[in-house]
Amino acid sequence: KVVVKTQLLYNTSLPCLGESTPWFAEQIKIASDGQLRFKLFDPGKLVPPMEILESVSKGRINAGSTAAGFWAGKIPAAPLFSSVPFGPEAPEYVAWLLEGNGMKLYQEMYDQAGYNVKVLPMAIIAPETAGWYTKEVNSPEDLKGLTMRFYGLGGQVMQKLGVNVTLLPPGEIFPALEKKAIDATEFSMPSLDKNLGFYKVCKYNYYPGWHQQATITELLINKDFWNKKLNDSQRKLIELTCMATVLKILAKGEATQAAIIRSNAEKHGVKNMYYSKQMLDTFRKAWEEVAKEQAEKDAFFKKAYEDLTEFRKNYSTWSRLGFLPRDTGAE
Amino acid sequence: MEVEHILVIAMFLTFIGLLFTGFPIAFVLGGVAMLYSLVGYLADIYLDTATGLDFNMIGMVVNRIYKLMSNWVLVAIPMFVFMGLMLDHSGIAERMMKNMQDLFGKVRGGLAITVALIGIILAASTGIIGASVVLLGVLSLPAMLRQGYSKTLALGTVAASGTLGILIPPSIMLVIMADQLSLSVGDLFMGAVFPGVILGALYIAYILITGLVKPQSAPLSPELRPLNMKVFIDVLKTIIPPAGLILLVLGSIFAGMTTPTEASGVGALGAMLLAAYNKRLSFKVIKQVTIDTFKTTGYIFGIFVGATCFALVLRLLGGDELIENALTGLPLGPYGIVAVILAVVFLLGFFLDWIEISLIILPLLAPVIKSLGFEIDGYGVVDNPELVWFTILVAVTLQTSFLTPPVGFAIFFLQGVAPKECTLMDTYKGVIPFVILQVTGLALVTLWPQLAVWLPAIAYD
Amino acid sequence: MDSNNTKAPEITRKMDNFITRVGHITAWLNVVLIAVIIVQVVLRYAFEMGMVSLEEMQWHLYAVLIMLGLSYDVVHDGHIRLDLLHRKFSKRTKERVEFFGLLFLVAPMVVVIFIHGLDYVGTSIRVGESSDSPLGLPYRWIIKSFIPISMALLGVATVSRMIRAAKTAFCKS
Ligand code: NA
Ligand code: NA
Repeated sequence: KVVVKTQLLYNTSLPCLGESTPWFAEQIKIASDGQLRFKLFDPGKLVPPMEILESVSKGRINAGSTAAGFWAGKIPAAPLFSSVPFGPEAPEYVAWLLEGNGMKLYQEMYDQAGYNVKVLPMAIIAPETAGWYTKEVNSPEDLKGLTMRFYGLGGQVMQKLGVNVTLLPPGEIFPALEKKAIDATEFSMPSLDKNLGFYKVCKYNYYPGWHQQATITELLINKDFWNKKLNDSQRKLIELTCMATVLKILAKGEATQAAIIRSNAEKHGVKNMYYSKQMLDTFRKAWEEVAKEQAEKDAFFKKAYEDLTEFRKNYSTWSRLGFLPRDTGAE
Repeated sequence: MEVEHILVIAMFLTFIGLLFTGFPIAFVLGGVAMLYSLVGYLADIYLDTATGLDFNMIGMVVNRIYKLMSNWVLVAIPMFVFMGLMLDHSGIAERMMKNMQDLFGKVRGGLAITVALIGIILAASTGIIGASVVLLGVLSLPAMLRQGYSKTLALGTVAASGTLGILIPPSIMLVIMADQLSLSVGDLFMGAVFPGVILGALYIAYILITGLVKPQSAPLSPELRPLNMKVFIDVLKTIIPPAGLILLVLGSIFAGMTTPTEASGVGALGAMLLAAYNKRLSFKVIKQVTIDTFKTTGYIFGIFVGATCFALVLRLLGGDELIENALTGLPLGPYGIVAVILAVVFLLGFFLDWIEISLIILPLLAPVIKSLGFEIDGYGVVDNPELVWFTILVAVTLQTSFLTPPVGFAIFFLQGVAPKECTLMDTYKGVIPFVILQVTGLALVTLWPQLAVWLPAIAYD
Repeated sequence: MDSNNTKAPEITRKMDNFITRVGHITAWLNVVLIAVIIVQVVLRYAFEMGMVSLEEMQWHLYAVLIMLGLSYDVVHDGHIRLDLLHRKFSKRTKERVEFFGLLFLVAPMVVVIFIHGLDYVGTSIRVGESSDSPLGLPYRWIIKSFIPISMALLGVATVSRMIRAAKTAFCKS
């Protein structure tokens, strides 16, 4: 019987992202007839969220359920494996990871940075909202001087447009909004944002989620533990269950947003907004600059980003022909 | 009983035993953690347990200490301590206390009520027990004792008023609890308002009654002047600058203009400017205040460091499961289980600070509470009203446990700044009436959940 | 410093003075911290400029203050005790408590945190760790190195205090 001590980053009561690992652990337990168990520790219980990578690598905990975007300070390329502004949607992202070079590069990134971890995808969710504001954002001018909570590469884009970007953990966002320490925030999908109560303070909820069209979370397992403490069948079981969890959470996320968006508007007086073409072009242009700067600064970022770009260029032939034109919120 | 559970209980008992040797609490917490990580390691080898503890595992304390160091919210602690000590060393605090007393005229206990009111205001600003209690103690104890207050009343008032800080919003504790339970922080803030105000009112009523029943414990100031226009203006002149500073600091937080950290820095600068205005600012005073601030924050964070080590090892030994199993197996009704849970929280509050308890206990308890099926009306606005209510109950309970002998964080912090003639025993005696008031407040919120749920419902409708 | 320090061995006096001097210099960071907060407030409210790096500078200063305070409070007896029984102990008993407490409770903590702390700093240097925010401070290893530094100082304070305690606790006067 093997027990895998696993530190979570997302609270288990958070929809989708938080639900993924408990569901995963439950399936593993049943499928292994109780012989393989993931013992989950709520956020901060053993080590704080930002310390999970290092603690798994050193073998202090066997595994961690996290997202690569949190390691930007240690590995500049890491956010590319969590979500990319104007990046791929969920099917394309999964295609790059599983059929393209994505997972290979993902693992190589941790190896090269000297972290002794095995990485597997834990969940994927489709677009996030583009953020919650107390006033309308009609032109790039409206962004200047705002203080906003923003995560990852999208945060660097906002920084370029004159926003004071701060990064707060989920629990501190609402009080900061309420105290006007920040004027606006983004966090995640509508059903996750609802849990944090943004609709009570910010009445303008913007779409589309240009900064996170899809977001991937990860399961990190200490490599020595992976290689030595698990047998072939257990390793295969974990890999397969990860795939199942990715699909399960994608389905869950897709199924549950619409009702929340409508109730935001009908019950709480939230205005659901769609960014103008001018705004989206502005974001895109700023993102291209950020991507270029990052690639100049960090070799592995360059390598991974070029590979993703190449994959997407190839994919676009298919996506342009294969899909029906889309009815968006734009007027 | 499993070997791990015996280890958990033994760890608690060792900790309590060593506390009574009088060795610094910070190091008793940290040291017991180190000893029991060795015990866990040996138990794995010889007693076939599965704690997984070893030298590598215990290295997690470093990750946890770094989290403590990088906590921007807690930056307010040294700053509020600096502000309080500066007001004290420059003699401003004492004069303010003395003059406020004049405003209360012939009301016995006027100074203690002043302290309670300032405590409640201060509470609202910091939300950090250590900082509130220390600041309040430094500001008011010398003045109260000089006026002949009984030591027990003075110490009890300061300890109790200082702990209100973790309850009255903006409260860091409520922020962390909301994070743990995925509740809205706004709901918890609003939910804590009535219980906090009720407790403050109970304190003041108690002080007034004590003044009537035992006048010698709350004497009037010997230099009390009759309250005429001239005195009134005199008093205002000395009170307005420091009171203005405190109101500025608090007001800017409440009005949503600044964060507590910003306000604390402005407050510290303001205290220096006030001292300069009163011609009491010198290099010597600044140096003394910085050193005393350094010393005070040193022992506050010593306890944080020790507690984070202790909680980790306790958890790795399986302390969490021990608690969870014990609770779910209880043959009691819903209110019985809530009572037991609160009793456990209360006891844990003796040993662990609220951060650890919010992290260890609350996530374990939330599913239990939800399954009990309390029907509490959230007016269609408040999500999970039963959890909001329960969390407020836990918050009041924790506040009480910090006040309760023998091991209360507020008591220890207060002891660190109390004048030499105040013994720990005096503080113990002083807090007992306030603990009774706390229990009263807790009972009210238990019986009328609307005290916690109604305000969040209307505030965000 | 208590009075028996005057009779204490020369070496402990040197160690204590060292800790005290480090403490008194560090204490001035409180004033620096006030200045940094004020600068940030002015920039934010007067010029509508938020600066993540200033915010990070604040907790950097705070972190140094809280970590170095540990050793200072050992030398200057600043740590909080449960003095219910302790008050009634004889001088000799008190010093015995101190000696064994430092040996069995503080020393293991110092060793464990120091060794793992060094390793922690090493990792930070190896990956060239910087802030997780785009405009935060670089060189995280600097602030992280205050974990082993604070433990080294706590070690010095512990040894010094143990020598002083041993004198009263075990030597016949
Ligand atoms: Na996000
Ligand atoms: Na508060």
